[in-house]
Amino acid sequence: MIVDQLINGIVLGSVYALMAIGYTMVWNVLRFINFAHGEVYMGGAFVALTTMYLGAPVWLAYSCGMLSGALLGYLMEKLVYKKMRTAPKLNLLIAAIGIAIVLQNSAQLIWGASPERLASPFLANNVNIGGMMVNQHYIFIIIVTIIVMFLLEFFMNRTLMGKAVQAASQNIQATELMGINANKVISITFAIGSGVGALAGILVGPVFLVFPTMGVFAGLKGFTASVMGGMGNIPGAMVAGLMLGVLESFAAGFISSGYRDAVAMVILLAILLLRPQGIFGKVVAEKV
Amino acid sequence: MLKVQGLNTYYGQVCAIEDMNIHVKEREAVSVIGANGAGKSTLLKSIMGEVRPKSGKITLSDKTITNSRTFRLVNHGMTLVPEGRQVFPYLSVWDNLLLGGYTLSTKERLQMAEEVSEPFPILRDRKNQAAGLLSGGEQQMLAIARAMMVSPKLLLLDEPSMGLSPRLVYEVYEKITELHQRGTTILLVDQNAEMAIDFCDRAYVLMAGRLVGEGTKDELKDTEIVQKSYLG
Repeated sequence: MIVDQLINGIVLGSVYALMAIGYTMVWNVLRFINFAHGEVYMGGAFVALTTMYLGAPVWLAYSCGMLSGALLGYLMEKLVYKKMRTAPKLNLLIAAIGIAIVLQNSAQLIWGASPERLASPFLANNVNIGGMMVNQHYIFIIIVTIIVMFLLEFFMNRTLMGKAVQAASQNIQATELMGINANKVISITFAIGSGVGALAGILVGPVFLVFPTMGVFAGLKGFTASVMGGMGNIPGAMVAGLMLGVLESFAAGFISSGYRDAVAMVILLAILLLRPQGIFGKVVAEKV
Repeated sequence: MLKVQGLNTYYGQVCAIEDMNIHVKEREAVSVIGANGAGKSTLLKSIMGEVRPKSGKITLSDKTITNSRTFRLVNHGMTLVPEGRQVFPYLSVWDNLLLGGYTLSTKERLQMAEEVSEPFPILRDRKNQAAGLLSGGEQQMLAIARAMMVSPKLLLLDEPSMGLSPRLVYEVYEKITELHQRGTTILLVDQNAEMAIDFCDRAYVLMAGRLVGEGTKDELKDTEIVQKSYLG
């Protein structure tokens, strides 16, 4: 039972971690919470579903879903957030909520409200791990998440563009003085964060199904994980996402599944009250 | 090399720069001095595209750069060492330098990082340390070295002595003088009039957003106009 819940928790946590990365990356460069990120998660899953209906193989459908998520994030930034960059943060927040509602309703108009299952070549098979049967798709989710995390770590710390993203998060005006187009850095950040968010939606599509409001709670959980990890801290968001998934899974397994969502919200409140910089957030000493 | 003609810059309704005309010739070291609020930093920000001027014309090597985006000006051969250093505090000293050479190829970037850090041994000693943990003087050296990564035709410096002890101010000016002697054209603004005038070939004096005096360092040293610009 414990191992069962642990594996469920890691799978769930992987998805939250992927979602949290999007929130935290955008926070890093623009210092605002993109509350429409959950709808990128939903949009990516729907595009993958449609591409599959059109006869595309699974890998192509998943890739299209991820790319469309990246494009959606890029367009959100270019068409709305960029024009509001000097506006008060509250305006951006309201705009993000507005975009989220528009996207949910548009999805309902296009695809309908009934949940659909995204196909996965792994869903029908189980793997025997130490005498326990684990669904192959769950293993697939964990492996994909690990690969994405390694790629992101490589991009952020081993490439010049990754360093530029980090620089922009520390001082966006000084970034331009280096000859770096800050707008391009912001667009790339949005696209990567959104692409990863869409991937999360695609990965859960075969298990939790695809429907227009699927991003609402997933978005809240991803946001909770990003706050837990310390806003702006990418490795922190990854670890916190996993922690949140495991905690939720244990709560659902040992208390009641009805408390699953409440656990995340209680954790969010506790973090905001007791450690607003997040579990892994730290104040780095800076000499001036 | 740099010409600023009839420049007017406003912050909302407030005029920060009024009908400004200055120029910098190739290989020249020019200082702009004036009290706090005289418009010195706004002048540099207007040149560097960080603030949009209301009217006027700015040319660099006869090419109009008025209202150009800041990052494009780096490609035109002009870099700015900003007020308050503005190093990237959580990135290493070396990464700060490498980002200064963002527009270069990988090979050139690494080569330039070695080259520009040569006169600053402290930067080499602390290359893996977070830049935010350097002292103020060391951060200023890093900011200067970072701006030199692209071998700029024109180097702008905004208040390089701000917040530094007299000994460090002297060291910073020594390094800037070295760069000038090696052929870099420099436009510098500083509240430290004595150091700024000593260093330059020519200087402009600003008061309340207007140009109130100009001349060579010998013409301006200990003159009433300089004293007046600070004391009113």
